[in-house]
Amino acid sequence: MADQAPDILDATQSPVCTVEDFCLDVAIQHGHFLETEGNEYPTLDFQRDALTPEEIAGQFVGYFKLRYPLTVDQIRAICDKSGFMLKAVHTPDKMRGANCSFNGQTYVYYKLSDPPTSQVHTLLHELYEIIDRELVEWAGARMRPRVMVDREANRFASNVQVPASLVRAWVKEQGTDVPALRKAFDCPYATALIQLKEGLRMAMLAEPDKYYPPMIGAIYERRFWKPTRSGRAPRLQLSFFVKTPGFPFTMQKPELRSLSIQHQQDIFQLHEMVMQERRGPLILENAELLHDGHALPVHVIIQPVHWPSVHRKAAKVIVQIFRLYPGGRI
Amino acid sequence: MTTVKALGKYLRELREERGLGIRQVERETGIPNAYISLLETGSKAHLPPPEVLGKLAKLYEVSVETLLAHAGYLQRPEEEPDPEVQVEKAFQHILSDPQFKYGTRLKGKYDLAAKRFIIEMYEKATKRKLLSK
Repeated sequence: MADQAPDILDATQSPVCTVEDFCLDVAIQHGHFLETEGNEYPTLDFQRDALTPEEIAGQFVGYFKLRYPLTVDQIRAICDKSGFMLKAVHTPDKMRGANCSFNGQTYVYYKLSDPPTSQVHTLLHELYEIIDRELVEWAGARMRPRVMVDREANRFASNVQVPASLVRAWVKEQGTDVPALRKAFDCPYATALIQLKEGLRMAMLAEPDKYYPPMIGAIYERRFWKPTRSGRAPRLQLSFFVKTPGFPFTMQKPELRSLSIQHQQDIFQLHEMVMQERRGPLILENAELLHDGHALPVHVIIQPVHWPSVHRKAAKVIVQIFRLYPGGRI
Repeated sequence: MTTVKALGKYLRELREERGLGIRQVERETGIPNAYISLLETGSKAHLPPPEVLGKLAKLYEVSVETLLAHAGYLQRPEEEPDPEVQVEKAFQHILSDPQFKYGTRLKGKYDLAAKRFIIEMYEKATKRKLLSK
């Protein structure tokens, strides 16, 4: 997939697809027209809250006929057609992008220094916020809380950049390797891991008689955007984790840090294994995951990600724990 | 705080708001990174010459007068309000403008740099000036 030349939307293509048209399309598809007395035309009854970001993402991919892997140019083409002003700029450290609308003109800004894969995610995030405002207007509803829209925008961006339905098919053919998935979709590691979990979950639900390995995945990273006072590389920190169905316990961040792995005769703390410097991946086959009174047979893969041109130490570490069933395979 | 230290703090803020590293500033302006570092930590005994400030002002997209004023080369009006208060006031104005809608991809809460960025967006979109440079 990564070898294919990406198709860029042709701005002269007909019919013209704009974000505004897309929103109207969504509102019509998910709403219904009401005949009201005294009104010559029916009114559109559309409930904004009835739509999830995943549903909007699915419709977005189809409407704009996106090709994978997604590129900044494809998103730029959508913005250009929609009449949005798009600009890569220096943004504050903690800000990856921003958008605003005033008097019918919309501006979208994204971080100049971000890698293209992150820029695509940011642009999709910003587009979702614009789409949300438009849909709220169509629904005649009140503006929704900013924190909620922000979280939904991330879900939307992940689902457009790496659709879970495509991941489901990819898992069947290629397996469950996060760096390979990242390469195939040219997306951030975080998006690859989140969507791998979603693709696995969908596959498990759709084909319960087949073996899809339940997975716990986590990403540790060094927050290079937050330099240390000493000038040393920031230490690795657990960024987030995901868990598919198939484990007999619930888990929070602190519990992930305290997970233990028994391999052969040795017992290790997962967190300590992650912190050890290594150049290549560490694979522990037929290990046991010890947690909450359970001892589950698992495979553990700990993969460091290096940015050799910038830092000697691993920039990120990806952890995947697969639960094994008798006769199961990864 | 001495003028040198205050200027250093301000220069560092400007650089970080723009997401630039010291080496990037060196590449763009030709000012050695060690000198920039000394300036920002306020370790230099003397104020930088105006031509250095001119180069930094160009890169950071602020007026030379602002930097010169921070460096004490120009007299600042005595009644000039605190920049943080100005930013907060301008941000509140934006929040109360129903015609202006915005969103961000931001880690954590809106800090001063983020608010300043939104104000700049507002100024560009509405062609209204809220902050004096």
